[in-house]
Amino acid sequence: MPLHNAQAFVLRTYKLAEADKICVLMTRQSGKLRGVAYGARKLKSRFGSCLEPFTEISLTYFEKDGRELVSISNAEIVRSHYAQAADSVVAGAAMSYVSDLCCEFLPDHEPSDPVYRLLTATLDAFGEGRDVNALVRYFEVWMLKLAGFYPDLRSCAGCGEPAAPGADVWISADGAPRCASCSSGRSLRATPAIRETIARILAKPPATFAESAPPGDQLDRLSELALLIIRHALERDLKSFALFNRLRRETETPGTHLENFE
Amino acid sequence: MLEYAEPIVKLIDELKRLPGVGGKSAQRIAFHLLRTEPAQIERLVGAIQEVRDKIVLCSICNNITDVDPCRYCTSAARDRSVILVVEEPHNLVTVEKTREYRGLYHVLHGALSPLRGVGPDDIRIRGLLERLRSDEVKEVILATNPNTEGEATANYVSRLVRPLGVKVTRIGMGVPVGSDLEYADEVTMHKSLQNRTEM
Ligand SMILES: [Zn+2]
Ligand SMILES: [Zn+2]
Repeated sequence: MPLHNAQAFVLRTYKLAEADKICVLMTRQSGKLRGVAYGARKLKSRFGSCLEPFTEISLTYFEKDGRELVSISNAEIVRSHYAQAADSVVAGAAMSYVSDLCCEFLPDHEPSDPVYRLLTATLDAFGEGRDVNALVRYFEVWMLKLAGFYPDLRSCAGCGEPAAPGADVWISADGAPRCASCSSGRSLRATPAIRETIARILAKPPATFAESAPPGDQLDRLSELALLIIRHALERDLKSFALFNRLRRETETPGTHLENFE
Repeated sequence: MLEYAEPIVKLIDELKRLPGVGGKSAQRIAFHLLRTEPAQIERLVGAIQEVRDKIVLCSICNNITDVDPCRYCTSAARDRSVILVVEEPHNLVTVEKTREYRGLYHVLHGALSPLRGVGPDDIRIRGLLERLRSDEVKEVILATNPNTEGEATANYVSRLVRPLGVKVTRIGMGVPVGSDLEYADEVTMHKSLQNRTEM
Protein backbone atom coordinates (compact mmCIF):
# COMPACT_ATOMS: atom_id res chain seq x y z
CA MET A 1 0.00 0.00 0.00
CA PRO A 2 2.08 2.93 -1.24
CA LEU A 3 1.65 6.14 0.73
CA HIS A 4 1.37 9.43 -1.14
CA ASN A 5 1.63 13.06 -0.11
CA ALA A 6 -0.14 15.71 -2.12
CA GLN A 7 -1.53 19.20 -2.09
CA ALA A 8 -5.15 19.32 -3.12
CA PHE A 9 -8.43 21.17 -3.30
CA VAL A 10 -11.56 19.49 -2.01
CA LEU A 11 -13.93 19.89 -4.94
CA ARG A 12 -16.99 18.19 -3.54
CA THR A 13 -17.97 15.68 -0.92
CA TYR A 14 -20.55 12.94 -0.56
CA LYS A 15 -21.81 11.15 2.50
CA LEU A 16 -20.80 7.53 2.72
CA ALA A 17 -22.28 4.99 5.14
CA GLU A 18 -22.80 6.13 8.75
CA ALA A 19 -20.06 8.67 9.28
CA ASP A 20 -17.67 8.58 6.32
CA LYS A 21 -17.09 11.02 3.54
CA ILE A 22 -16.11 10.59 -0.08
CA CYS A 23 -14.12 13.54 -1.39
CA VAL A 24 -13.43 14.48 -4.97
CA LEU A 25 -9.98 16.04 -4.82
CA MET A 26 -7.93 17.96 -7.33
CA THR A 27 -4.37 17.18 -6.37
CA ARG A 28 -1.50 19.16 -7.74
CA GLN A 29 0.62 16.03 -8.18
CA SER A 30 -1.80 13.39 -9.45
CA GLY A 31 -4.78 15.30 -10.81
CA LYS A 32 -8.34 14.56 -9.87
CA LEU A 33 -9.04 11.59 -7.64
CA ARG A 34 -11.66 10.28 -5.29
CA GLY A 35 -10.83 9.46 -1.74
CA VAL A 36 -12.65 8.15 1.29
CA ALA A 37 -12.12 9.62 4.74
CA TYR A 38 -13.37 7.21 7.37
CA GLY A 39 -15.20 8.79 10.27
CA ALA A 40 -14.94 12.29 8.77
CA ARG A 41 -18.52 13.18 9.65
CA LYS A 42 -18.16 12.31 13.32
CA LEU A 43 -18.22 15.17 15.80
CA LYS A 44 -14.71 14.46 16.98
CA SER A 45 -13.29 13.53 13.59
CA ARG A 46 -9.58 14.17 13.26
CA PHE A 47 -10.32 15.73 9.88
CA GLY A 48 -12.27 18.59 11.48
CA SER A 49 -13.09 21.15 8.79
CA CYS A 50 -10.23 20.04 6.47
CA LEU A 51 -12.50 18.18 4.09
CA GLU A 52 -15.13 20.86 3.59
CA PRO A 53 -15.55 21.87 -0.06
CA PHE A 54 -13.08 24.42 -1.52
CA THR A 55 -10.49 23.87 1.21
CA GLU A 56 -6.90 23.55 0.05
CA ILE A 57 -5.23 20.78 2.01
CA SER A 58 -1.99 18.97 2.33
CA LEU A 59 -2.92 15.33 2.51
CA THR A 60 -1.58 11.84 2.91
CA TYR A 61 -3.41 8.99 1.23
CA PHE A 62 -2.83 5.47 0.17
CA GLU A 63 -4.00 3.44 -2.77
CA LYS A 64 -5.31 -0.04 -2.44
CA ASP A 65 -4.59 -2.31 -5.35
CA GLY A 66 -7.30 -2.23 -7.94
CA ARG A 67 -9.45 0.17 -5.95
CA GLU A 68 -10.75 3.32 -7.55
CA LEU A 69 -11.12 5.06 -4.19
CA VAL A 70 -7.98 6.10 -2.36
CA SER A 71 -8.00 6.19 1.41
CA ILE A 72 -7.29 9.54 3.04
CA SER A 73 -5.24 9.00 6.15
CA ASN A 74 -4.35 12.55 7.09
CA ALA A 75 -5.19 16.10 6.02
CA GLU A 76 -4.16 19.55 7.12
CA ILE A 77 -5.49 22.90 5.99
CA VAL A 78 -3.28 24.93 3.67
CA ARG A 79 -5.98 27.48 3.03
CA SER A 80 -9.62 27.37 4.02
CA HIS A 81 -12.36 29.16 2.08
CA TYR A 82 -15.00 28.04 4.55
CA ALA A 83 -15.91 31.53 5.77
CA GLN A 84 -16.59 32.94 2.30
CA ALA A 85 -18.64 29.96 1.19
CA ALA A 86 -20.64 29.86 4.41
CA ASP A 87 -21.21 33.58 4.88
CA SER A 88 -22.68 34.40 1.49
CA VAL A 89 -25.09 32.19 -0.38
CA VAL A 90 -24.06 33.78 -3.68
CA ALA A 91 -20.32 33.33 -3.06
CA GLY A 92 -21.01 29.76 -1.93
CA ALA A 93 -22.98 29.09 -5.10
CA ALA A 94 -20.21 30.67 -7.20
CA MET A 95 -17.58 28.47 -5.58
CA SER A 96 -19.79 25.42 -6.03
CA TYR A 97 -20.12 26.14 -9.73
CA VAL A 98 -16.36 26.63 -10.07
CA SER A 99 -15.87 23.32 -8.28
CA ASP A 100 -18.42 21.65 -10.50
CA LEU A 101 -16.59 22.82 -13.62
CA CYS A 102 -13.38 21.25 -12.28
CA CYS A 103 -15.21 18.00 -11.52
CA GLU A 104 -16.76 17.86 -14.98
CA PHE A 105 -13.91 19.05 -17.18
CA LEU A 106 -10.83 17.64 -15.50
CA PRO A 107 -9.96 14.10 -16.48
CA ASP A 108 -9.15 11.73 -13.60
CA HIS A 109 -5.55 11.18 -12.55
CA GLU A 110 -4.10 13.77 -14.92
CA PRO A 111 -2.33 16.56 -13.10
CA SER A 112 -2.85 20.04 -14.51
CA ASP A 113 -0.78 22.77 -12.99
CA PRO A 114 -2.54 25.54 -14.96
CA VAL A 115 -5.96 24.49 -13.61
CA TYR A 116 -4.56 24.20 -10.09
CA ARG A 117 -3.09 27.69 -10.28
CA LEU A 118 -6.29 29.01 -11.86
CA LEU A 119 -8.39 27.64 -9.02
CA THR A 120 -5.97 28.96 -6.40
CA ALA A 121 -5.98 32.46 -7.89
CA THR A 122 -9.75 32.52 -8.37
CA LEU A 123 -10.56 31.35 -4.83
CA ASP A 124 -8.03 33.84 -3.43
CA ALA A 125 -9.75 36.62 -5.36
CA PHE A 126 -13.10 35.48 -3.90
CA GLY A 127 -11.51 35.86 -0.49
CA GLU A 128 -10.44 39.40 -1.28
CA GLY A 129 -14.08 40.27 -1.85
CA ARG A 130 -13.82 40.85 -5.63
CA ASP A 131 -16.85 40.91 -7.92
CA VAL A 132 -18.12 37.34 -7.69
CA ASN A 133 -19.83 37.34 -11.09
CA ALA A 134 -16.75 38.66 -12.89
CA LEU A 135 -14.61 35.99 -11.20
CA VAL A 136 -16.98 33.21 -12.17
CA ARG A 137 -17.02 34.35 -15.80
CA TYR A 138 -13.24 34.58 -15.72
CA PHE A 139 -12.89 31.06 -14.38
CA GLU A 140 -15.39 29.73 -16.91
CA VAL A 141 -13.48 31.07 -19.91
CA TRP A 142 -10.17 29.75 -18.64
CA MET A 143 -11.44 26.37 -17.48
CA LEU A 144 -13.25 25.68 -20.75
CA LYS A 145 -10.22 26.86 -22.70
CA LEU A 146 -7.82 24.66 -20.73
CA ALA A 147 -10.19 21.75 -21.25
CA GLY A 148 -10.00 22.41 -24.99
CA PHE A 149 -13.61 23.49 -25.52
CA TYR A 150 -13.48 27.27 -25.69
CA PRO A 151 -13.60 28.41 -29.32
CA ASP A 152 -10.81 30.51 -30.75
CA LEU A 153 -12.77 33.55 -31.89
CA ARG A 154 -9.95 35.01 -33.92
CA SER A 155 -10.85 33.19 -37.10
CA CYS A 156 -13.83 31.62 -38.87
CA ALA A 157 -14.12 27.83 -38.61
CA GLY A 158 -15.90 27.82 -41.99
CA CYS A 159 -13.73 29.79 -44.38
CA GLY A 160 -10.66 30.16 -42.18
CA GLU A 161 -10.59 33.94 -42.65
CA PRO A 162 -9.43 35.93 -39.60
CA ALA A 163 -12.26 37.78 -37.83
CA ALA A 164 -12.42 41.41 -38.97
CA PRO A 165 -11.75 43.71 -35.98
CA GLY A 166 -15.10 45.49 -36.12
CA ALA A 167 -17.26 42.51 -37.15
CA ASP A 168 -19.35 40.11 -35.11
CA VAL A 169 -18.46 36.44 -34.85
CA TRP A 170 -21.27 33.87 -34.68
CA ILE A 171 -21.04 30.77 -32.53
CA SER A 172 -23.30 27.86 -33.39
CA ALA A 173 -24.52 25.14 -31.05
CA ASP A 174 -21.48 22.99 -31.90
CA GLY A 175 -19.26 25.68 -30.38
CA ALA A 176 -17.62 26.64 -33.66
CA PRO A 177 -17.10 30.34 -34.48
CA ARG A 178 -18.14 31.56 -37.93
CA CYS A 179 -18.13 34.80 -39.86
CA ALA A 180 -21.42 36.37 -40.96
CA SER A 181 -21.33 34.78 -44.42
CA CYS A 182 -20.51 31.26 -43.19
CA SER A 183 -22.93 31.33 -40.25
CA SER A 184 -26.39 29.85 -40.65
CA GLY A 185 -29.26 29.08 -38.33
CA ARG A 186 -29.35 29.96 -34.66
CA SER A 187 -26.07 31.27 -33.38
CA LEU A 188 -24.78 33.30 -30.48
CA ARG A 189 -23.25 36.63 -31.34
CA ALA A 190 -19.79 37.55 -30.04
CA THR A 191 -19.39 41.27 -30.60
CA PRO A 192 -15.95 42.89 -30.86
CA ALA A 193 -16.45 44.14 -27.27
CA ILE A 194 -17.05 40.58 -26.02
CA ARG A 195 -13.99 39.34 -27.86
CA GLU A 196 -11.98 42.13 -26.30
CA THR A 197 -13.21 41.07 -22.84
CA ILE A 198 -12.26 37.45 -23.52
CA ALA A 199 -8.82 38.61 -24.65
CA ARG A 200 -8.48 40.55 -21.40
CA ILE A 201 -9.46 37.47 -19.38
CA LEU A 202 -6.80 35.45 -21.14
CA ALA A 203 -4.16 38.10 -20.50
CA LYS A 204 -4.77 39.08 -16.88
CA PRO A 205 -4.94 37.45 -13.45
CA PRO A 206 -8.48 37.06 -12.01
CA ALA A 207 -8.19 39.74 -9.34
CA THR A 208 -7.03 42.33 -11.89
CA PHE A 209 -9.81 41.41 -14.27
CA ALA A 210 -12.46 41.60 -11.53
CA GLU A 211 -11.12 44.94 -10.33
CA SER A 212 -12.20 46.63 -13.55
CA ALA A 213 -14.91 44.19 -14.57
CA PRO A 214 -16.95 44.90 -17.72
CA PRO A 215 -20.62 45.85 -17.36
CA GLY A 216 -23.12 43.21 -16.30
CA ASP A 217 -24.67 42.70 -19.74
CA GLN A 218 -21.27 41.76 -21.15
CA LEU A 219 -20.77 39.27 -18.34
CA ASP A 220 -24.22 37.90 -19.18
CA ARG A 221 -23.14 37.35 -22.81
CA LEU A 222 -20.07 35.47 -21.56
CA SER A 223 -22.34 33.36 -19.39
CA GLU A 224 -24.56 32.51 -22.40
CA LEU A 225 -21.52 31.55 -24.41
CA ALA A 226 -20.27 29.34 -21.57
CA LEU A 227 -23.69 27.67 -21.33
CA LEU A 228 -23.58 26.87 -25.04
CA ILE A 229 -20.11 25.36 -24.74
CA ILE A 230 -20.97 23.36 -21.62
CA ARG A 231 -24.07 21.96 -23.33
CA HIS A 232 -22.08 21.03 -26.38
CA ALA A 233 -19.29 19.41 -24.33
CA LEU A 234 -21.34 17.59 -21.68
CA GLU A 235 -24.62 17.21 -23.57
CA ARG A 236 -26.44 18.41 -20.47
CA ASP A 237 -26.68 21.40 -18.15
CA LEU A 238 -24.92 21.95 -14.84
CA LYS A 239 -27.39 22.63 -12.04
CA SER A 240 -24.82 24.74 -10.24
CA PHE A 241 -24.60 27.04 -13.27
CA ALA A 242 -28.32 27.81 -13.19
CA LEU A 243 -28.42 28.10 -9.42
CA PHE A 244 -25.51 30.52 -9.24
CA ASN A 245 -26.96 32.74 -11.96
CA ARG A 246 -30.35 32.70 -10.30
CA LEU A 247 -29.14 33.51 -6.79
CA ARG A 248 -26.92 36.23 -8.21
CA ARG A 249 -29.79 37.89 -10.09
CA GLU A 250 -31.99 37.72 -7.00
CA THR A 251 -29.47 39.68 -5.02
CA GLU A 252 -28.94 42.17 -7.85
CA THR A 253 -32.62 43.01 -8.19
CA PRO A 254 -33.99 43.27 -4.67
CA GLY A 255 -37.73 43.00 -4.24
CA THR A 256 -38.29 40.31 -6.88
CA HIS A 257 -37.46 37.47 -4.54
CA LEU A 258 -37.54 36.15 -1.02
CA GLU A 259 -34.42 37.78 0.15
CA ASN A 260 -32.70 41.10 0.62
CA PHE A 261 -28.98 41.07 1.23
CA GLU A 262 -27.55 44.05 3.00
CA MET B 1 -26.08 -12.29 -10.73
CA LEU B 2 -27.42 -14.81 -13.23
CA GLU B 3 -26.85 -17.68 -10.85
CA TYR B 4 -29.73 -16.65 -8.53
CA ALA B 5 -33.41 -17.18 -9.15
CA GLU B 6 -35.16 -14.09 -10.44
CA PRO B 7 -37.11 -13.22 -7.23
CA ILE B 8 -33.85 -13.18 -5.28
CA VAL B 9 -32.18 -10.95 -7.85
CA LYS B 10 -35.18 -8.63 -7.60
CA LEU B 11 -34.93 -8.47 -3.81
CA ILE B 12 -31.19 -7.81 -3.93
CA ASP B 13 -31.75 -5.03 -6.46
CA GLU B 14 -34.35 -3.40 -4.23
CA LEU B 15 -32.15 -3.67 -1.13
CA LYS B 16 -29.25 -2.09 -3.00
CA ARG B 17 -31.32 1.07 -3.41
CA LEU B 18 -31.29 1.60 0.35
CA PRO B 19 -28.78 4.13 1.68
CA GLY B 20 -25.48 2.60 2.80
CA VAL B 21 -26.31 -0.84 1.35
CA GLY B 22 -23.89 -2.10 -1.28
CA GLY B 23 -24.08 -5.23 -3.40
CA LYS B 24 -22.51 -7.50 -0.79
CA SER B 25 -24.68 -6.26 2.08
CA ALA B 26 -27.78 -6.55 -0.10
CA GLN B 27 -26.89 -10.15 -0.84
CA ARG B 28 -26.31 -10.89 2.84
CA ILE B 29 -29.63 -9.33 3.87
CA ALA B 30 -31.48 -11.15 1.10
CA PHE B 31 -30.16 -14.52 2.22
CA HIS B 32 -30.87 -13.68 5.82
CA LEU B 33 -34.48 -12.94 4.85
CA LEU B 34 -34.69 -16.26 3.00
CA ARG B 35 -33.89 -18.08 6.24
CA THR B 36 -36.22 -15.96 8.36
CA GLU B 37 -39.50 -17.27 9.77
CA PRO B 38 -42.60 -16.20 7.81
CA ALA B 39 -44.10 -14.48 10.89
CA GLN B 40 -41.10 -12.24 11.26
CA ILE B 41 -41.19 -11.36 7.56
CA GLU B 42 -44.87 -10.44 7.98
CA ARG B 43 -43.97 -8.10 10.81
CA LEU B 44 -41.22 -6.44 8.77
CA VAL B 45 -43.47 -5.97 5.74
CA GLY B 46 -46.23 -4.72 8.02
CA ALA B 47 -43.93 -2.21 9.68
CA ILE B 48 -42.79 -0.85 6.33
CA GLN B 49 -46.36 -0.60 5.10
CA GLU B 50 -47.50 1.10 8.28
CA VAL B 51 -44.81 3.74 7.97
CA ARG B 52 -45.82 4.36 4.39
CA ASP B 53 -49.53 4.57 5.23
CA LYS B 54 -49.50 6.41 8.53
CA ILE B 55 -46.48 8.66 8.57
CA VAL B 56 -46.97 12.13 7.15
CA LEU B 57 -45.17 15.43 7.46
CA CYS B 58 -46.59 17.80 10.05
CA SER B 59 -48.36 20.58 8.18
CA ILE B 60 -46.87 23.14 10.56
CA CYS B 61 -43.27 22.10 11.27
CA ASN B 62 -42.63 19.38 8.59
CA ASN B 63 -41.60 16.87 11.25
CA ILE B 64 -42.46 13.25 10.49
CA THR B 65 -45.53 12.27 12.46
CA ASP B 66 -48.52 9.94 12.66
CA VAL B 67 -50.86 12.74 13.76
CA ASP B 68 -51.11 16.08 12.02
CA PRO B 69 -50.22 18.57 13.49
CA CYS B 70 -47.47 16.70 15.33
CA ARG B 71 -47.22 16.27 19.09
CA TYR B 72 -44.69 19.07 19.48
CA CYS B 73 -46.83 21.54 17.61
CA THR B 74 -49.95 20.75 19.64
CA SER B 75 -48.36 20.31 23.07
CA ALA B 76 -49.46 22.86 25.67
CA ALA B 77 -46.19 22.29 27.53
CA ARG B 78 -43.97 23.65 24.75
CA ASP B 79 -42.75 27.24 24.64
CA ARG B 80 -44.38 28.75 21.56
CA SER B 81 -42.08 31.77 21.45
CA VAL B 82 -39.06 29.82 20.17
CA ILE B 83 -38.61 27.80 16.97
CA LEU B 84 -35.54 25.67 16.46
CA VAL B 85 -34.69 25.01 12.80
CA VAL B 86 -33.06 21.72 11.78
CA GLU B 87 -32.16 20.13 8.44
CA GLU B 88 -33.59 16.64 8.99
CA PRO B 89 -36.21 15.05 11.28
CA HIS B 90 -33.56 12.93 13.03
CA ASN B 91 -31.72 16.12 14.08
CA LEU B 92 -34.74 16.92 16.20
CA VAL B 93 -34.25 13.72 18.17
CA THR B 94 -30.69 14.79 18.99
CA VAL B 95 -31.96 18.10 20.37
CA GLU B 96 -34.72 16.40 22.36
CA LYS B 97 -32.15 14.14 24.04
CA THR B 98 -30.76 17.16 25.89
CA ARG B 99 -34.14 17.58 27.69
CA GLU B 100 -33.26 21.25 27.81
CA TYR B 101 -35.11 22.60 24.85
CA ARG B 102 -38.83 23.19 25.35
CA GLY B 103 -39.69 25.23 22.27
CA LEU B 104 -41.07 24.30 18.85
CA TYR B 105 -39.32 22.98 15.74
CA HIS B 106 -39.11 23.55 12.03
CA VAL B 107 -37.64 20.91 9.72
CA LEU B 108 -36.20 22.17 6.42
CA HIS B 109 -35.70 18.69 4.88
CA GLY B 110 -32.29 19.57 3.49
CA ALA B 111 -29.78 22.34 3.18
CA LEU B 112 -28.87 24.68 0.35
CA SER B 113 -26.35 22.94 -1.86
CA PRO B 114 -25.52 24.39 -5.28
CA LEU B 115 -23.24 21.41 -5.95
CA ARG B 116 -26.19 19.07 -5.53
CA GLY B 117 -28.53 21.47 -7.29
CA VAL B 118 -30.50 22.19 -4.12
CA GLY B 119 -31.78 25.78 -4.16
CA PRO B 120 -33.98 27.81 -1.80
CA ASP B 121 -37.18 26.47 -3.37
CA ASP B 122 -36.14 22.87 -2.74
CA ILE B 123 -36.13 23.15 1.04
CA ARG B 124 -38.97 24.20 3.31
CA ILE B 125 -38.16 27.82 4.12
CA ARG B 126 -41.38 29.52 3.08
CA GLY B 127 -43.46 27.74 5.71
CA LEU B 128 -41.11 28.99 8.41
CA LEU B 129 -41.58 32.58 7.30
CA GLU B 130 -45.34 32.09 7.38
CA ARG B 131 -45.15 30.83 10.94
CA LEU B 132 -43.37 34.02 11.94
CA ARG B 133 -46.19 36.24 10.72
CA SER B 134 -47.95 36.05 14.07
CA ASP B 135 -46.23 37.92 16.87
CA GLU B 136 -46.04 34.81 19.02
CA VAL B 137 -42.52 33.80 17.97
CA LYS B 138 -39.71 35.84 19.50
CA GLU B 139 -36.67 33.76 18.61
CA VAL B 140 -35.53 31.44 15.83
CA ILE B 141 -32.61 29.14 16.67
CA LEU B 142 -30.73 27.90 13.60
CA ALA B 143 -29.44 24.39 14.26
CA THR B 144 -28.45 23.40 10.73
CA ASN B 145 -25.28 21.31 10.40
CA PRO B 146 -21.90 22.88 11.23
CA ASN B 147 -20.58 22.51 7.68
CA THR B 148 -20.44 24.70 4.57
CA GLU B 149 -23.94 23.81 3.41
CA GLY B 150 -25.51 24.07 6.84
CA GLU B 151 -23.93 27.43 7.52
CA ALA B 152 -24.83 28.85 4.13
CA THR B 153 -28.40 27.73 4.83
CA ALA B 154 -28.35 29.35 8.27
CA ASN B 155 -27.10 32.59 6.75
CA TYR B 156 -29.73 32.51 4.06
CA VAL B 157 -32.56 31.87 6.53
CA SER B 158 -31.33 34.47 8.99
CA ARG B 159 -31.36 37.16 6.30
CA LEU B 160 -34.98 36.37 5.59
CA VAL B 161 -36.05 36.20 9.22
CA ARG B 162 -34.29 39.23 10.68
CA PRO B 163 -36.34 41.82 8.77
CA LEU B 164 -39.46 40.33 10.39
CA GLY B 165 -38.26 41.59 13.74
CA VAL B 166 -37.58 38.12 15.17
CA LYS B 167 -34.37 37.43 17.07
CA VAL B 168 -32.18 34.93 15.18
CA THR B 169 -29.55 32.84 16.92
CA ARG B 170 -27.17 30.14 15.68
CA ILE B 171 -26.15 27.12 17.79
CA GLY B 172 -22.63 27.45 19.16
CA MET B 173 -19.86 26.05 16.99
CA GLY B 174 -16.32 25.22 17.94
CA VAL B 175 -14.20 22.59 19.62
CA PRO B 176 -16.15 19.46 20.51
CA VAL B 177 -16.49 18.51 24.19
CA GLY B 178 -14.08 15.79 25.25
CA SER B 179 -11.42 16.50 22.64
CA ASP B 180 -7.95 18.01 22.88
CA LEU B 181 -7.44 21.60 21.80
CA GLU B 182 -4.26 20.73 19.94
CA TYR B 183 -6.26 18.77 17.39
CA ALA B 184 -8.51 21.67 16.47
CA ASP B 185 -7.94 23.03 12.96
CA GLU B 186 -7.94 26.77 12.31
CA VAL B 187 -11.53 26.99 11.07
CA THR B 188 -12.83 25.17 14.15
CA MET B 189 -10.65 27.25 16.46
CA HIS B 190 -11.74 30.45 14.74
CA LYS B 191 -15.38 29.50 15.33
CA SER B 192 -14.64 28.76 18.98
CA LEU B 193 -13.14 32.18 19.46
CA GLN B 194 -16.00 33.84 17.64
CA ASN B 195 -18.52 32.06 19.83
CA ARG B 196 -16.70 32.55 23.15
CA THR B 197 -18.78 33.42 26.19
CA GLU B 198 -18.04 35.60 29.15
CA MET B 199 -17.37 33.81 32.46
ZN1 LIG C 1 -16.31 32.32 -42.73
ZN1 LIG D 1 -45.26 19.87 13.98
